[in-house]
Amino acid sequence: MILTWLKRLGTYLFVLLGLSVLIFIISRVAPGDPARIALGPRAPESVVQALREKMNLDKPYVVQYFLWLNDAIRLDLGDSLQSRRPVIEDIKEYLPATLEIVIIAGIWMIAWGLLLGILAAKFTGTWLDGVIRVFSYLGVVAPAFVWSIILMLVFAYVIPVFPSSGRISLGMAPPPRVTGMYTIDYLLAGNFAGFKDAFVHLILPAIGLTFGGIAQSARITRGTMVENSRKDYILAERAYGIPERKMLFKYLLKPSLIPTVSVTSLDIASIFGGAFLVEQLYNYPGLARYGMQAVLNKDLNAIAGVAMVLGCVFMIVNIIIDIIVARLDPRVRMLGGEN
Amino acid sequence: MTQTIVDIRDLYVQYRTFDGQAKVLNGVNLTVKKGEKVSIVGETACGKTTTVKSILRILAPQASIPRGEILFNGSDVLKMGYSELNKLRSSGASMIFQDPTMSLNPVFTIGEQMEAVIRYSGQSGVEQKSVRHELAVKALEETAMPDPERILQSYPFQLSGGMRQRVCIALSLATPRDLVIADEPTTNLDVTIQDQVLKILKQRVEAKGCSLILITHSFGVARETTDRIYVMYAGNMVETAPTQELFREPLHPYSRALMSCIPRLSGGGMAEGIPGRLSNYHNPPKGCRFAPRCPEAMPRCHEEKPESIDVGREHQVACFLYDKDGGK
Amino acid sequence: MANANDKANCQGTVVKRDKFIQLKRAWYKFSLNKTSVIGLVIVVAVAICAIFQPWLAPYPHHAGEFVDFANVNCPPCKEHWCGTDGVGRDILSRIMYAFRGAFTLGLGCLALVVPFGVVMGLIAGYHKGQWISTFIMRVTDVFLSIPPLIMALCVCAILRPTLFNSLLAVSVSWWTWYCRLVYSMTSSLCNEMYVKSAELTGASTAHILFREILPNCFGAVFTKMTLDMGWIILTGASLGFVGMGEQPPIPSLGTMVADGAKYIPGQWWISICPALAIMIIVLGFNLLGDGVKDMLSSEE
Repeated sequence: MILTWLKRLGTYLFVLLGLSVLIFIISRVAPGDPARIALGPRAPESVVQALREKMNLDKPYVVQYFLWLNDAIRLDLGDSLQSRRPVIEDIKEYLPATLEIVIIAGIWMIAWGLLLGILAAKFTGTWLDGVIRVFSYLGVVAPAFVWSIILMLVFAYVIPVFPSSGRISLGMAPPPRVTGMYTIDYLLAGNFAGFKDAFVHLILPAIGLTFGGIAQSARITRGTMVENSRKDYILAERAYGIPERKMLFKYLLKPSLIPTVSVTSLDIASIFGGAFLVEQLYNYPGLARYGMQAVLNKDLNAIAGVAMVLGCVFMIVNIIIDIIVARLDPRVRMLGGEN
Repeated sequence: MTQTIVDIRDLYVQYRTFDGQAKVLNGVNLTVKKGEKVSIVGETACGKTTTVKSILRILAPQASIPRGEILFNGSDVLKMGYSELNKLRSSGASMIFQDPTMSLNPVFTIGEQMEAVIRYSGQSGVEQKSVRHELAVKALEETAMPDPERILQSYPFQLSGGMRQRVCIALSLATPRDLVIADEPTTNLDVTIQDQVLKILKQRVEAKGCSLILITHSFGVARETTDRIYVMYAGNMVETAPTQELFREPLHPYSRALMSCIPRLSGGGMAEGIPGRLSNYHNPPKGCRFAPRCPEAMPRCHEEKPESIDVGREHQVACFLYDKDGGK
Repeated sequence: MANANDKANCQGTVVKRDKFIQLKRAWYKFSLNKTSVIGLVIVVAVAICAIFQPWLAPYPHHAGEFVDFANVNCPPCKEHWCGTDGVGRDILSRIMYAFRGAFTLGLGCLALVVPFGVVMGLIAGYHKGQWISTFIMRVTDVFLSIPPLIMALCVCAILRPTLFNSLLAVSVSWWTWYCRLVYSMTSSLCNEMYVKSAELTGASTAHILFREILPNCFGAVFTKMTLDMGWIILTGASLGFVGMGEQPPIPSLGTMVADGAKYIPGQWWISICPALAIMIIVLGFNLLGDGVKDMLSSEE
């Protein structure tokens, strides 16, 4: 069984490698001369040439790739065009901010998705099911940025409850840096006012990202539970007299969770993707907004860096999800593959 | 007078489909006494499974029951409230399904599933895990399973088909029941295992003094295992008699035709089939549903539905051939 | 004494002399769920708006270069159902014009993505266990290792923002879904008897893939295509939101939402109306897709 996990890890690393090749190709395919772009149109040719050599642009592509990869593994991702400092520094600063949002969003999404899905499955055919179904359609059809706009409109302007930009209010000092995540750092420093402030700034962006995921999870959970409830083993368990409540929350839920959990990784992907747009909207200084700016400014080093980091984060998320699926489905655990 | 466990009276069941209502059960009557082993024999899709599923009320949502009564130990199942029904399911009757692969929850161990069933059976002492575990082990031992402890730790996909079906038998009989229903329990198993599983089923049911309703499309199985046979066609019980009696003298034309289909080692050539097909449930024929295929059909058969007639020796037939007035 | 009537009854279900029974059955299954019909209506309505925009829109010329500072920032009213934007253009007409871009994006992307993805999936599924299959599946993993929107953004970063380029950007990740779908169906269908017998009678691989296996995947693929139209349009709108889609003055849904975001909360309709339009389109395709799934499923 350990062998299976090692094989899987190997696959993931291979995928990361493939990603690095892809990113590299994209960044080199970009039209224009990176050195010239970096220095601007008025820099003298000699300076540009010197930069080209420094950036290894004159060497064959394959060599360039390996040099780049070599640096990347050592966390040297080059310098960013926008901030004029190493990309890795930028990432270190902005990644935790985005992680905060994604974690809150993830927890919210999973909790509500499951709950709504179970309710809809239990009350199939009633008004509650209809309402949840309509909601899940709405949640799914509106992209994250639309929800964020609506939320912003309602909660920041119409009923001003939540702030609409930034990580902390003006006048608040950021906490001493431990993890980079303001909420945790404030807690660690014992600063509860700061924690509340940081948390409140997180809510609107995070919630806006979750609607799609909640809707998706609810739909799939409901669908799988309804489908499984027609299976013979549920019929048999009901025939044996196992009470409905127990059936719902244990015997029907466990096999039904599997597709939902598998899909959760995609939902987390869409949260990341949505974050790119939402952080722009809320002026939230996270990795996604940094990446977005990089895209707009054609800051290739930064784009490559962000993409690789996201690839790694995503790989970790997928591993966690695989572990959970294996825990839920003994066939996967023991046979080491999909059934 | 032995106690009657199940008494189905004049049961009508229909299913809603694209082409309209499929009137599957057309007035079914069935009685099972305490300790009696009864089998229902008939072609595929004649309503056998629908009948027994009605007893436990586990029919599909598209099904509806316009008429009829099902008395289980005296109370009408169709009028039971949720808690009464649950009691029926947990300690009154149990069911063994046709496909053992699908009737066990794939993500829980055998032990977890058995203990769950035992837990809700309403027996004393089952709140404690050790008691449940013991009962589970005992149930498995009784069905001649090797190494019950290991089986309890396994998942369904790790067991063979025959073993899974024996687990299902053990599940049904782990706690005392009045009735066990077995829906073609051996159809999906290898021939070599079929015999073994049936023997175990018969033995266990007799040992516990339960009643048994066995559904099968094989007369051979019915003969080996049960005391009384109900022959079913297109939603009606056309004939019923004690096993020996039915084989000695099948009365209904359908039963006779079915019997002649069984290849015999002693004399006779190859079996002939029965011409025609099962009737259309959406537009069932007026009168007797077998009349269109019946070699001895009379004009009356196409007009009126035959009621069950007692011909003595606990033998009943639903056929106008045996009707004293107006028959042959 | 069996007569003709009994014989007919004996044949089992009386065969209706109706050539259109297949279509009627399909429609029955489709329309079992009323929401699917609503989806169909929405999609057809949007398509009509897109195609016949010059004749249906109240102010078709507003979709191009046009300014009318007299009518700037009007809230929704009788003349302008969705109000006007910052330079006086009627938002409803622009939305209807934007439908064209949306549909083009969706259909174009599918046209690229489906053939390629399906063929890859067939090959990978059929040769499961061999290196080519593993290779193809790893490649799909690579393309999926970062969220599709982000991949699209990366691609957009290197290309000029036009409709075609955003189509390419979305396609880069999208083919992988079809590849995976067809891969899993093919690898399980490989073991079916009809495939084995085709192999034994010497049928070529191409024949097996395209004539035996592909028709069985058709249902799932078609359902996914219907649902994907909505998602692709959504992704396109997301790209437009950050300025990566069609450029002004050509109206595109995402760009309109982004432009309008500045005016929140004052002139909310400039953003909200296109946003609602996006939601309605995606909703329509979603409902339609569910109906298509019901229609093509073979459950009783």
